[in-house]
Amino acid sequence: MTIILSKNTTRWSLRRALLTILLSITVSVWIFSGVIVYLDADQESQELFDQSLAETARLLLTLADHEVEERIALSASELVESNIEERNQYLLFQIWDKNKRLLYKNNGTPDLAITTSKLSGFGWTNLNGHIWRTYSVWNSAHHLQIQVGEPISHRKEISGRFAYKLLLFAVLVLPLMAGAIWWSINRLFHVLRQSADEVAKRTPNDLRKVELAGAPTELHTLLNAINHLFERVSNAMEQEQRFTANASHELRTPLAAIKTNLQVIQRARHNEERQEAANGLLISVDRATRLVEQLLTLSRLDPQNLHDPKLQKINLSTFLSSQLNEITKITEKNNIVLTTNLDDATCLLNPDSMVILVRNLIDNAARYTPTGGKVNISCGGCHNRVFLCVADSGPGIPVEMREKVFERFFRLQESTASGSGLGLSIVKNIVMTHQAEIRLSEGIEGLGIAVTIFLQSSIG
Amino acid sequence: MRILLVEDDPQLGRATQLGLDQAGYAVDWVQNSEAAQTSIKIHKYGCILLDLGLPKEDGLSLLKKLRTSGFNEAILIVTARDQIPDRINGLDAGADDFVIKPFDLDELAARIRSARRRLIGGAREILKHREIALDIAARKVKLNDEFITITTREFNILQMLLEHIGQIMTRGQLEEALYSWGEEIESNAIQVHVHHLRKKLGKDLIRTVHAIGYVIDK
Repeated sequence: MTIILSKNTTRWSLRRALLTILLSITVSVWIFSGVIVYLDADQESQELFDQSLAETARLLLTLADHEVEERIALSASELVESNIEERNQYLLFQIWDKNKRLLYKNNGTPDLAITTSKLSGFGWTNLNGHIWRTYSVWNSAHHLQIQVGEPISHRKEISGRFAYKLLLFAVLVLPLMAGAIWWSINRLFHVLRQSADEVAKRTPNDLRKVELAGAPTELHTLLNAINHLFERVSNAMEQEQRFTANASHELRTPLAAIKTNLQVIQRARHNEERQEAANGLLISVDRATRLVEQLLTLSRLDPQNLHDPKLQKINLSTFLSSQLNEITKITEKNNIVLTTNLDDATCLLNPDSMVILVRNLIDNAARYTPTGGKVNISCGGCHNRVFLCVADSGPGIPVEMREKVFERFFRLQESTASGSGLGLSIVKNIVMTHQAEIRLSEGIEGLGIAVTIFLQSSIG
Repeated sequence: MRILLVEDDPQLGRATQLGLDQAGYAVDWVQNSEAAQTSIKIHKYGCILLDLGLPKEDGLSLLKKLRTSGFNEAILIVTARDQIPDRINGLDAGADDFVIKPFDLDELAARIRSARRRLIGGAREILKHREIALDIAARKVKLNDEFITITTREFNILQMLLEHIGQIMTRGQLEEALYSWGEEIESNAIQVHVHHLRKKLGKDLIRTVHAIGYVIDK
């Protein structure tokens, strides 16, 4: 049983364990019941032999009683020499009188008393190196005693034959039984094999559910688990494929612009044309670069890795102040008025990814807010948590679209600005690694959108 | 031939417009399907280049609309979506061809020509009339088996007239096919081009139909 319960990594076979257990149980039960049957048979035969020994003794005693009364005058030796022919000479008997004189005995019986016990009944004795079963009894008048002895070998021969038969039976039947057990276990494990084969022959792309029909119910738990895994894997693969497809055609447009602009430059008819195409080329290369950067950022921010090990206790307001230089660069470029309300608040954050998060939020706000618009950055404490909010006065996001904007490559239909559609996905992934929460609400003065992130102020 | 380019990416749109202009096409460029529908009502296009990923209404839906409204000229889908189902959907919706980004300008021009050819009927790569042979793909003209030098605009006028032998092409129609929006057209531009053509190919080829236009008689 230790084989089954052990959780170590050594290889073990359920089939072999089952076979071993079943066979040892069967053999043990056989041996046990064989011994019981043998002992019981031995006991029974003892009793039967004892009974017949006692009956023989009494019969002989009665005969001897008559004999003694008729020939009372005869000497002991005569009496002793008198022969009672015994064909099956295995029984010894002696007749004694109350004066301990041996009156009768049969051939081969020694002169000494078979049993020295004064009491009547059964006993054991050792004669000539053999063990004998003895019985002694007095006649009713209590002047004659008979002692009989029977060799134990006789009895042992019977129970020995019995044991031999039992053993023979076991030797013949046990291998058959073992074979039957082995065969049926193999049959059953064949079903396991079939299920395993069905899973094993799958190619990585074949993630259909494994058929439960035909498999034993004990396997259903395992097969269901496999099916669930298949489903999750196929979902992940589908998502990955969609992502790759999206990424590839997001890249195709700037690449097409690059190629076409280059060909226009090659065939330029005058300098202005060459200049214009060169400008377009530059912008397209920038766009492709930004897209590749965003894709890399996104792939680095694996949302599977939920616990960012690099979270540190940092004062958010100090952190944001250190970023203001970069932030104002973006807003000034887009002619946007930047305001800040930074209150001291310490929270857990990873400065590397938080830089990306803030930059993406500011980038989005600046990109979609028309020239002359406003962007506000604020932070502070709020119910045991710390918030970071970027609000703008841009066109905003319709309420029904607010869930969708976090999807990769999602862009609002109305949007005219050229975004990659990845910014908010990146933000969301960073929020997830911070185990923080993100909310979208109305922006500045009822216009635009406000993105608020609630960060943990301490571990737990 | 005048082409309508529907492409929302500013850099790619402008570059394609320039590139096709270099190849001798007049290209109008719009960035969404609404503007495309308006343009079609105003001008006569020989070909539409359609991007599928347009804002608001996507290219496929516009394509279906155009075909149901009876637009029978060539429509080529120019897209980044290269999956087979996308192609099938596009072609089934009535596109004549499918060009995947990034494309080669020469190939794009060749595909436009081939779509036009199929539309006109017969694989006429060379238009022949008397001693004149016009090679559409090479954009070259032979007179008595000798190449003559010819400008893009002259070629376009000649091609249009040869494609419509026996039909009078109005000055407006010719201007339409030659110039995109914003290009300055001098009032006698067509007249000047025809004058040059007559010089190169002989006086009798192109007949002026007074106050209407020009025709090459059968």
